[in-house]
Amino acid sequence: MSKLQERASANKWSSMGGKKPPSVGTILRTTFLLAMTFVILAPVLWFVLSSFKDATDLGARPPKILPTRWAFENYTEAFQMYNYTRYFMNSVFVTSVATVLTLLINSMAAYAFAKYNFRGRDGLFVMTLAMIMIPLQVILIPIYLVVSSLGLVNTYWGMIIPAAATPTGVFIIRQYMLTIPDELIEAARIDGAGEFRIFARIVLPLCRPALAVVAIFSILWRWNDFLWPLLIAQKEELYTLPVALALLNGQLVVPYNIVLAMSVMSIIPVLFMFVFMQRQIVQGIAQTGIK
Amino acid sequence: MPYLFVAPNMLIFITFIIWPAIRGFQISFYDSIDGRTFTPVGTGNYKAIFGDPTVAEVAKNTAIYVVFYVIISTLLSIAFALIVNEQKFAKGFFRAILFLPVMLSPIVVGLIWNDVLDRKVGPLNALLQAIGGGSPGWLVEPKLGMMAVIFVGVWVHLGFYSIILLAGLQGIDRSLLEAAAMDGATRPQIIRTIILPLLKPTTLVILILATIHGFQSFDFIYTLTGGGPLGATTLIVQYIYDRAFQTPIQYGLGSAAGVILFMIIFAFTALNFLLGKKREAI
Amino acid sequence: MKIKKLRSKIAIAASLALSAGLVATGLPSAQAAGLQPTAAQLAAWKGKEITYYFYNDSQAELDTTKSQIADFEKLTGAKVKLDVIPYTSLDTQLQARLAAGNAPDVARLNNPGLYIKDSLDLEKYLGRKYAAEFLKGSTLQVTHPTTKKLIGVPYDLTVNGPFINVDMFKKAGVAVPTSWNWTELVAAGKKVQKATGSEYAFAIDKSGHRVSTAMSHFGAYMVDKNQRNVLPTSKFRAEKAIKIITDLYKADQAPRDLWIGTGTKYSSPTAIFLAQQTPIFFSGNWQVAALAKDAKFDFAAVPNPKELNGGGWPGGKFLVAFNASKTPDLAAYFLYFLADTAQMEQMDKNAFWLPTRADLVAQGVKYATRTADMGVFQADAAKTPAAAYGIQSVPTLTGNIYNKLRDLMTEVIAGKITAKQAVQTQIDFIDAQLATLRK
Repeated sequence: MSKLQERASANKWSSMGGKKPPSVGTILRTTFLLAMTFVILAPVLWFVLSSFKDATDLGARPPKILPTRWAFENYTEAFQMYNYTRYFMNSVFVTSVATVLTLLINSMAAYAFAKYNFRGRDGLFVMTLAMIMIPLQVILIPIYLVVSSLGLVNTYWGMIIPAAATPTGVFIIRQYMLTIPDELIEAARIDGAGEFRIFARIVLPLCRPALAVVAIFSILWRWNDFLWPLLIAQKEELYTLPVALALLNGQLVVPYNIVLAMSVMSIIPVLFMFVFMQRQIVQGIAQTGIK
Repeated sequence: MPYLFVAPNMLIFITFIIWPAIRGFQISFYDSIDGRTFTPVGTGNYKAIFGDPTVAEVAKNTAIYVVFYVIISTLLSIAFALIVNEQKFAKGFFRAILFLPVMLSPIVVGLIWNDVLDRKVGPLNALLQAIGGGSPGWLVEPKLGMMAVIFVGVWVHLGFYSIILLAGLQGIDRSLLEAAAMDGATRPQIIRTIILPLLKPTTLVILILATIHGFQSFDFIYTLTGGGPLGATTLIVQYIYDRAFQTPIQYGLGSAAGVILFMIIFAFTALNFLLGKKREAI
Repeated sequence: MKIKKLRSKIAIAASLALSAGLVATGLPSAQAAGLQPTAAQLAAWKGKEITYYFYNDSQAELDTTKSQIADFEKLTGAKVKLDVIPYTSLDTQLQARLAAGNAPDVARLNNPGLYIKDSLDLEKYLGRKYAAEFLKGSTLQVTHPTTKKLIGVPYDLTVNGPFINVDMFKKAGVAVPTSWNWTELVAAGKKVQKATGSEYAFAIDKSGHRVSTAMSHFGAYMVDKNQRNVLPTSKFRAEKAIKIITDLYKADQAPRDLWIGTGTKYSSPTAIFLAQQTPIFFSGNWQVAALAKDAKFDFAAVPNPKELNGGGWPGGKFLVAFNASKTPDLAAYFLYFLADTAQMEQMDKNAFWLPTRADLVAQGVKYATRTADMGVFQADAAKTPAAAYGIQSVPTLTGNIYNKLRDLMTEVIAGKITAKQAVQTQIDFIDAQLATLRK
């Protein structure tokens, strides 16, 4: 925290350029934001530190901030006892394929909704949006019946396909596509370009910011999904990280220190993405013109 | 041609959401303890739901949760969006921090707060005790449990709503704000008279999303409290989930509750939407 | 070693059968020599795959299962796919799979009563005498309530009972108990807590099944073997048992947060015992393997406290084959294989399980370590009163009844109702549950 404050205050003074002291508003705002930073970061940091504690430290009272002994064995044991690499690769595979598929079919649908006039368009669009109103948990068994009758249980496709169509994705891309001038598409048609070609070569490249946002959301959703993959992946070779975590957490005798280590390891890739892509996330959303 | 474009998406919706939802609706008129054998009971499940004290409890919990969750998240996300937007330095950093919880999986969120809110070995109570505040049982007292769950719900989703609002703020025409500033309007005045009204459509989106999220909250609560203490944080989705997977299994009853939940969410969304439209018209 | 010998024995028998050109249509009923697959079956099984729906409490169970599967595959030429499922979603997933018609062939279950309709009649494949190879008490939960046929195999016997932290007891100068009652147990726990400064004096799994043990000690039971509600006749005893436990929780001398703060989820205070924050931990023998691995102190299983009765409370895990299996004879034979004397003995040794086979019980399983602890559990198993088996006469309802008891305990601990009210509510609940049987 102190480093953070240092950095923040260093920024503060340099940005002022020494011209005038910070206004009351600036001070209030910054205090407020620092408090927010504390409320958000502190629990996460605490959790990460906990993952390095042994059973004695975890039960210590009052709780210790730093572990008395850094129990790295929580991590090594997690690696030894569980096929972490496999779960990680499964998560990466499912997340990336699902995201590519999501981008493709969501943008296709969005294109139709944004740039075509056809019977039933508004009805279908409202129906698409209405999909976010049905929670998965409520129709779990009927969906499972469908998925298994299609032979998708215990397959990667079973984890990928049902999740690929997202109402939010369609909505975001459609809103963005509305801002693309129709003349552009008309011109291409006059030049004799096919419909799919116009979509793929002209419209999609223009939608890059919206696609980036949907990609990021899709990655987040798929990476963190657990209820659905838990039902589909019934053999260990197919487990994704959250499934493995749920499995670990659901044992009769729960190895809590290992659960902590596994959880932290499952956050790291997302944090990594977060640090490197947060600018795109925000700018992308800003540019999609959700209003 | 346009049909071809919407086809893949629609096919997935129909196969994996709409069709199962219709099946769920059918099942709500049957009694089943295993999802395989069905005894028709007519509207018996619906009658049972309206007569069941547990459901009344669950409905009360859900109502409390949704009301507080929606109001707090909407207000706070507007506040955060405005503040971050005004911020001159380290803006990117704060924006990023705000978004961090959105990226965590619900299981991890549940585990984190389980750790932090622990009555005896949790850091929050250690902090409280250091300043002489006792050690409340956040996850043991029914009222505190509900507060904890609302707080964590807001903690998780705030970043998401704020980012959408921030995006909305970027869309506001700068020249309008500059003109107002030239006319001598103070910053608070500008916010109140120009920015907030222009932000109304985005706020409506937040309101709709928060209402839907509120009614659907389940997974982080399940990891955090399991619906306890004493069922105080058992919300409607967990009730439905439990009817399918926890003793006593009553599959038809769960499906009926699901149908009712959908109708409530639908009604609220429509209401939000209509009210928003109307206000705009005025 | 044993397993290898057995395998070669079976292999020889199989080849003999082959060379003699025996053609059989079904399995012969169980014989003293054990059941061997016929040549025709071996031919039919070759390359077939069955799925084993499995969960485990310890790594040893998983490892042993994997190696036994490898042996089974060599023996039969069939393949076994092992699906490892988290304990907490064991029934969730299985129900979904059964509903969707992709049931596994074989499952290891905790509550077989939920699956009576789906379970394969084992007598058809393993003979009518097969059930007699197991302890009578253990087969109750896998006996069909109306046809009385065997529909599952008792895979292990669990016995509930207390563990103590010997180091903490010594430090406090409290002798390791060899026999005690609940008052002494509570006093010992509190004394050790005081002397060592531990957080709690006592902890018990959040489970109606575990609480039933204490009720049994005081002579209170819920359902008898004729499917009757017997709680009304022993309600004051039940109140005593519930009160003695809930009082500890109410006074914060037992981990009430863990009990109240986890809603309807199962939770066990294992971590609290491992962190030496409670001297007494009431659970059962399935914890031995995990405790032996993770405890950084000397622990021991001690006898159950004795009031009117001593002894444990019967429980166990079961193997069930499903009638949806495409190769029911192979599935049945897989159960037979896993539960035969050699395999069961090996599993019991590795995972600290108690045997369910009469022959193994008679000869005794020799554990490599923790012999004393396992001896305590075995002795308590023998002392378990017959009335404790009564509730198993309603296998479809046991889960509901135990869970209701757990939830009522939660309310008592939270101070919402009294022990007396809890018992009365439980009586009404059991009546309502039993009424569903007669509908």
